[in-house]
Amino acid sequence: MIRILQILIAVMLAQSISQSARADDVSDALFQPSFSNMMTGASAFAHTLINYHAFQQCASDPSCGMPDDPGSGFEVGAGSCCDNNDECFNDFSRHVNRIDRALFTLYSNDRRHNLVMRIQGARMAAMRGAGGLSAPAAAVVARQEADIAIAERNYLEKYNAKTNENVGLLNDFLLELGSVINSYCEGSDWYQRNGLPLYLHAKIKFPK
Amino acid sequence: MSKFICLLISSLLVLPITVEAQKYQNIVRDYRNDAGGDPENPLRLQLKAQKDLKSGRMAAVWGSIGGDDEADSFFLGKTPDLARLQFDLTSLGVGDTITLTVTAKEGQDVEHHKIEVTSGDSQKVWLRLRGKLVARITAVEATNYALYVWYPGDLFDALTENEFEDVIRHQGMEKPHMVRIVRGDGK
Repeated sequence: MIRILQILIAVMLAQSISQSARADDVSDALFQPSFSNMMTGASAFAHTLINYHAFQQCASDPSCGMPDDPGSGFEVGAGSCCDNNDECFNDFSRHVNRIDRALFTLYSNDRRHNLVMRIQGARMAAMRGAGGLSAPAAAVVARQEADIAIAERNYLEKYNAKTNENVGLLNDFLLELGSVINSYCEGSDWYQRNGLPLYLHAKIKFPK
Repeated sequence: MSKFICLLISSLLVLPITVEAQKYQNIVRDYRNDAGGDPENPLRLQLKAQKDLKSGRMAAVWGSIGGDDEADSFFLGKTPDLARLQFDLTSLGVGDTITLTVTAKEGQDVEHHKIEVTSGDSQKVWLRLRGKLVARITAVEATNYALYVWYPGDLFDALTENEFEDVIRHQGMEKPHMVRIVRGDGK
């Protein structure tokens, strides 16, 4: 009898929780579309920022080409031998997309790095301003400055490790594309003529 | 055995509720527990990471306002540096205009920003603020509202005004291309 009572109480309790939650759901339903709108907007905005980073950084590099500046930049050609072979040219285009994405990541991260350094610079300046108040305050600021410098050094190490990895990945894609072109047009030396200069540019420009 | 059955039945009934609740995290449901309107004694609203929010932290209020409930006040925290925040206010009823007043107090400096929405309308406003931040919602006629406060992160704070305007203008921009294919050998 006691067991049956226990079960009944548990079921009633759970049902009451369930019912109150369902009532809340009805009210929540009114607000949910606005939540979805907000999240969609926020996601699009964050995405725009990533695209904008890459766009800005590429636009400020005379070597990098942008769609609105057809006179500049990384124009890559497959070579006349490949141009006249549809299969080769399509293969070439597919590989170029990978190279484009790798460069996009490098430029986007480069811009992000500049902003992080800007933030650190502003924090340092604010600290130094505050440090002029008194001797104890100056001592605290000196310690905090040292912490910021350590954080900056750690960040740079991580940034360079990741960037070198990304530059290596870019080079892998370029080497692979060179092999693809070579398989269609023997002795074309695509990597030496087109891939290597792009790799060297990335190797010099992105690590700090 | 009976304990086990009790637990099993309870779990089965409660499980769907838990799953549903996970979709919307960190939401203050003011329509259930009304926040006070006194700006000197506001309800703490914490900005937290939200599932599916790719950048930064946010706070959300689903509330009712107007009639007997003249105002809802929320304390958003203190920021020593200038921080860019997006305030997204939606009016969900057929009532009157809803007004959001954001106050940033830094020492003797006090800034007020007003955002108004009419019924069924929505407004997104970016503000660059410093100090103690309080958001206060007011309306005369009874209605419902949704308020979202989004802090996308310090990378947005680091942008200059011109750069930030640029990002706003570029909203929805497609991924730019770094490489263009040309016929021949390229350059």
